[in-house]
Amino acid sequence: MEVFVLLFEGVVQAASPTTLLATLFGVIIGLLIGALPGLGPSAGVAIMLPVAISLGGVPALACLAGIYYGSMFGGAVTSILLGIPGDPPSVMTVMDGYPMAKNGEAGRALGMSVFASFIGGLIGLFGLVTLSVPIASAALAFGPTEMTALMIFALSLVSVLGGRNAIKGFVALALGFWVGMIGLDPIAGPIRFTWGSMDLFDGVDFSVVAVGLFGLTAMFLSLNENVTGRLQKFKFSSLFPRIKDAIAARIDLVQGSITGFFVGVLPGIGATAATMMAYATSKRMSKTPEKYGTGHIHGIAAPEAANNSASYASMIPLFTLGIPGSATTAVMMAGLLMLGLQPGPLLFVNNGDFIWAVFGSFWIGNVMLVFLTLLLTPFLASILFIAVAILYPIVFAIIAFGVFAIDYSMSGLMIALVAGVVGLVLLKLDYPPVPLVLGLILGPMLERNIRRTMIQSEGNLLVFIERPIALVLFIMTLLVIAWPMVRKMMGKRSNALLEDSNSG
Amino acid sequence: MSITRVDQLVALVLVFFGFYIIWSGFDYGYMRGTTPGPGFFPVLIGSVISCLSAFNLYRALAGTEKLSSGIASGDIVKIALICLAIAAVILVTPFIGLTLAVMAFMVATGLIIRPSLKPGFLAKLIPVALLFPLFLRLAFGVWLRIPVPTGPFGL
Repeated sequence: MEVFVLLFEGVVQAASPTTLLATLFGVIIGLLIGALPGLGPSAGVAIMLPVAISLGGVPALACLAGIYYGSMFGGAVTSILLGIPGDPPSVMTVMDGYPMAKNGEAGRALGMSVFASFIGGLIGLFGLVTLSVPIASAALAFGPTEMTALMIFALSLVSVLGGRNAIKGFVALALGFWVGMIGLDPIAGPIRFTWGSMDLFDGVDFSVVAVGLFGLTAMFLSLNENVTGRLQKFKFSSLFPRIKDAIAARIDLVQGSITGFFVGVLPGIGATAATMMAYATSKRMSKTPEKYGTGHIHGIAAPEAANNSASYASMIPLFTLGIPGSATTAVMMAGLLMLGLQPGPLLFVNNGDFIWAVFGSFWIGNVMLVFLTLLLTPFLASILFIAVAILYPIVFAIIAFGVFAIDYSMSGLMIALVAGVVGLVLLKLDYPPVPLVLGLILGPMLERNIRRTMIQSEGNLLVFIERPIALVLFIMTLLVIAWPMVRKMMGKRSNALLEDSNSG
Repeated sequence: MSITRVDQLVALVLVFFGFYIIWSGFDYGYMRGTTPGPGFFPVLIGSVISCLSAFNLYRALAGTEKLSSGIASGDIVKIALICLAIAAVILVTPFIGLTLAVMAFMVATGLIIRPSLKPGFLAKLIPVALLFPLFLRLAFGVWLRIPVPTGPFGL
């Protein structure tokens, strides 16, 4: 009950004009980014990070988070009207949304997507608010050893689950660690890997790397100007959600929201996987599975509820444990650190007002999005037809000013450029970029924790496994790392058995 | 160059890069007495990069690594030109200010993405390239009070 009182106070705080404007700005940018293919939520949050941080405090984070969950609403518009998913979590919405639009039911599909997004958002927010405090309270009992073990476990999870090739995931993670080591060593003093450059003396700013790695890379990959889809017509009056549809799809809405929440809370899996699982579950539970993929309203309800629920759930490990589980939350963590706040259980103790005001802004933003998505749908649909040759120079210009604003130096833009090119090469070669950024953000913390603990224990490594929680986490880490190899071996064994039985 | 060859080369470069990190780590001091020194983590991380990249190199050479298609040569040229344009912004900003540099950059980037001198396109691109940096100058320089580098005309 106490959390709802705190939340109410947070909503009141978030209703201040500055935070309201920041939330409004964030969700509108999020809607636009969600609608634009090529620029996903991580790119959007990364590009707008320097701008949002300039707003300071609660408005900064309300704006960043608004971009994140706003993009979840925006992605559905182009998926339904053009058959082009605006961002990866909207891929499943194309399956039934676009056929419905082609059948002249675009308004009905859009109405359901907005309603499902709202319900998913509500359930995700409810989970975020009710689970954050118990998780943070439990984590307060964690000492440096447990936190180190938890960080290593989360990083291993992201690296294994983050891409097709776990080995490349770990290489990307190690590269991120290395970038995090550049600059002055915080414990012993010597300068590492700066090659004499004074610009690197204070280290590499993770926000600049995130702008390059997610923002520039995403744009480099989508310079092609061809929009192949054909905009389906709809009437504005038809956009409002239908009560009959909402009642018919109630189970899919709840199922999608819950699936999205539990998948979204796990590091490294993300909203896209949540939508796929929600869609598959909805189809499996349906009495008419054959209708899925042909323009079935239930096929929109489940994934749209799931991606919104997942976006809020993914913020739980970030706020409560200080561990980002996805690219977007990694960039948001960079934002928190730039604001001088250390995400983790102590955030709820030391900055309770801040965190509840941020959560309050999420509730306001979720309601705002319902009206904004309906109002802006015609504009969002037409944004795809704005030439890339006009749009991208605008985004590049925002990056140039924004990156300069981080440390008032042009060297940041050079680092962002290098990160953009490196990100492009790595992405094309299947090295996932998320572990790299997580390594960069968490690496220095991990190094400090490990070295301090070892200094205190006089070099005794066993100190890490003396505490039971840390030991369990290390065992789980080993299992996560070993899992791809075990799965591969099991696959080979079952193939061999299959061949034996076929030949026999 | 095929994407597979690039994969092999990157894996090879990373193997050597890992060795460089290890070597630097020993240089910084791996241990100080019984406790880890500033080189402890670099040695650890360098070893991980080298070992795993060697495995990746083996996979790439053996052909077990399945990669998606590379980047079209036309897009590579565009990306390279945009990178050069960004580098030019970094170089000329101290002399002409960020606003003018970004104006020129926006026109250049627009023309790199769509190499067309059609009046209809230029009529959209040039006003956007002139007005949007002015808006950013106002937003960052005045509203957010960022000391944006200034050049001629106070821009």
